Amino acid sequence: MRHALPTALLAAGLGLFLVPGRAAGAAGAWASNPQSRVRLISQWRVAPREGELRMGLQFRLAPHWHVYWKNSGDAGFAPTLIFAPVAGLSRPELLWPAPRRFELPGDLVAFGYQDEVVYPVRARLHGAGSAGRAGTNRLALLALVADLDYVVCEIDCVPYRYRLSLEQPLAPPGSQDRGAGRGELDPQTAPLIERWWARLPLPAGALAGVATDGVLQNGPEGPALEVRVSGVRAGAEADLFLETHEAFEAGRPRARAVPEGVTFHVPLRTKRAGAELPARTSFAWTATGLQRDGRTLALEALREVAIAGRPGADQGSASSSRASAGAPASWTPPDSRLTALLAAAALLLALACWGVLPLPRPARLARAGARQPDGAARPERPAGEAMQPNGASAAAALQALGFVLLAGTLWLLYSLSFQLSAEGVAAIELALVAMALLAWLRGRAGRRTRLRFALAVALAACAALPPWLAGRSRIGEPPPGGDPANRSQQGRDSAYSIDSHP
Amino acid sequence: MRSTRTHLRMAASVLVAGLTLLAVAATPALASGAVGDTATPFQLKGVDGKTYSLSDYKGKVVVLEWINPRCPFSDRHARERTMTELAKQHGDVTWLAINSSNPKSSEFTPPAEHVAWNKKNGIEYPVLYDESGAVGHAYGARTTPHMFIIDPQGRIAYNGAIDDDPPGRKAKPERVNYVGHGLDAEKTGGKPDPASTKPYGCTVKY
Repeated sequence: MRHALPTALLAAGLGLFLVPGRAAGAAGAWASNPQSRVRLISQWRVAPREGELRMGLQFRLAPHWHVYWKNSGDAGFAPTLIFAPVAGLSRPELLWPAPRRFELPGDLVAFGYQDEVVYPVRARLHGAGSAGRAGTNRLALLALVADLDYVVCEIDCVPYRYRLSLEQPLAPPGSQDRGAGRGELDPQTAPLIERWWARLPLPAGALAGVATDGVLQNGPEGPALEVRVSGVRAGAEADLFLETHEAFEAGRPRARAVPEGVTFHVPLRTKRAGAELPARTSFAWTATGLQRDGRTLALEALREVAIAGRPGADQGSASSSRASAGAPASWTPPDSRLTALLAAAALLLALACWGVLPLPRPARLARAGARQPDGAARPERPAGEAMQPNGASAAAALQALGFVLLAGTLWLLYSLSFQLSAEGVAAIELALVAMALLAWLRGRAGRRTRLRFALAVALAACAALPPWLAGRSRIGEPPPGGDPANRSQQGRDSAYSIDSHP
Repeated sequence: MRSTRTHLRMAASVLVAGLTLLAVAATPALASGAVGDTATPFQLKGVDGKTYSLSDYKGKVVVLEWINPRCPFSDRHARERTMTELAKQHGDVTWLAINSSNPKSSEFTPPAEHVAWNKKNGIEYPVLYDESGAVGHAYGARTTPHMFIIDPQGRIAYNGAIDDDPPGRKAKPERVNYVGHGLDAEKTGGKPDPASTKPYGCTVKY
């Protein structure tokens, strides 16, 4: 008994901390913790009594922390928001803006949002707030209460639970007065909600000329899902997110620009060892970072897909089979920078084999062996004479190796085309051509030492270009520094103090 | 001339080795641990200093629980006695917890601290260190907790979450405890259903 009062005070204090205060208007009170703060917002300062009610679950996150998409990836879980029923309001639905991918230690990935996110919440008003208020010109309040569970992660994860509330003023009913029955948008929250509403993936088919379909493949690497999106271009951030599937786990998708649009190759692993691929199964995916008419968009689709080559595969989308027929070979380079470096090295070696670049001493000797001691060319070998391991044959072998290396360069460039944007591959090709030109010029520079040195430096710089370009133009990865929207957000977050709650 | 041929051979070898390296590196990095797979054998040292080997439990049902005292999800289940009570209910089942946290990570729990945490939460089953993360990767363990049931034939019978309540909002009796149901099924000669669910929690700190 002696401790009853302090205990009650403590409980009340905790209650105040865990249950954010009520606030009337377009925004509820923030619920805050060291990693994040969250609140309910509405687009309406005064909402109409009928029609769609657009709201949002707004998170502001401390730098580097993230919250999750509907498929959280390898860890965490998606937030759950459960509203208490309200008369005159349909059950609010939490919607999922296009997510981004977070690479985590241990080769794990997470899908979600960093810095700030507003999950759109959609509901419908039908005569809300009329009970007990009808006939008056006073604003009625729609009391919204929702239980939120979420986990916020950086490397660590911290789960939180809050009861959020928002008291949404409603327009007076039934009167002909100015503004009666009509809503009034909030100047702060309405644009914010609209901005995030615009980041919701569009249903496939919502845009004329844009389509998506998929096909299951069973190659030597194992099963894979090949998703094609036509009528768009692959932006630098093109990515594909699969929703959880009962039979498969998805690996990292590889985006590839194709003339019709973009394809995503997603390696799959069956959750049951040795299970046969189903003839048909459904996948839900969201493709992000797509470009059309100068704007970035995301598409979502739920598609029944079949195994490539099986009768009935991709019913109604025969073009999808064509896309998979032209899909990348089972081999794909693991790292585009390493591949680009190898391509440059292979070209340099090829040039050396052809004598455009100086070779090490033994190879020079081989070329010298192809000539007579007096400098005259060795007479042509009579037809049918066996190839002897002499200087001439070694030089010929070297030149042949040059062609093999050139073929290797071209093959590596082909492989890069699955990982890089078309502009990126073109830039690398230009760098390789520049390398060849510089090497040729250096060979013709004679004994002009300074010029030879300058050309050698330029050649080395050119050789470093392909891996650098490869690092910058990978499809499916944000460019260094992120997009302008993110940069502005980062700027805001750097000024955001988790202790300075409004 | 011999030197030329040597260099040619070297160049060819370098080329072949480079391409082989690329081909190997291109192999998909999807971990095993699928239901029906043979459980990867391991030998790990426990926080108690003893060495434990999966082969010691041949012919028994084994539960593997990925654990991390510094993960709020592991900690909640430990406080709620989710695993310990289940382990006690199924006394004939071998329960092994594995901590795959990298010792260089701030999330690593040293042995003395781990023992104290185990004691506080009534964890009496062995807790093993997988400091290299090799066992975790072999099973495809992604979260703490991430649960596996290994049947008496040494095959993975269940892979996934402990229950259907990631936020821990439901009262314990209302939760669907997938591992509990799986162990009940194993006891009666059946198979866990579902055999696979999406695990939730913190990432394993490899």
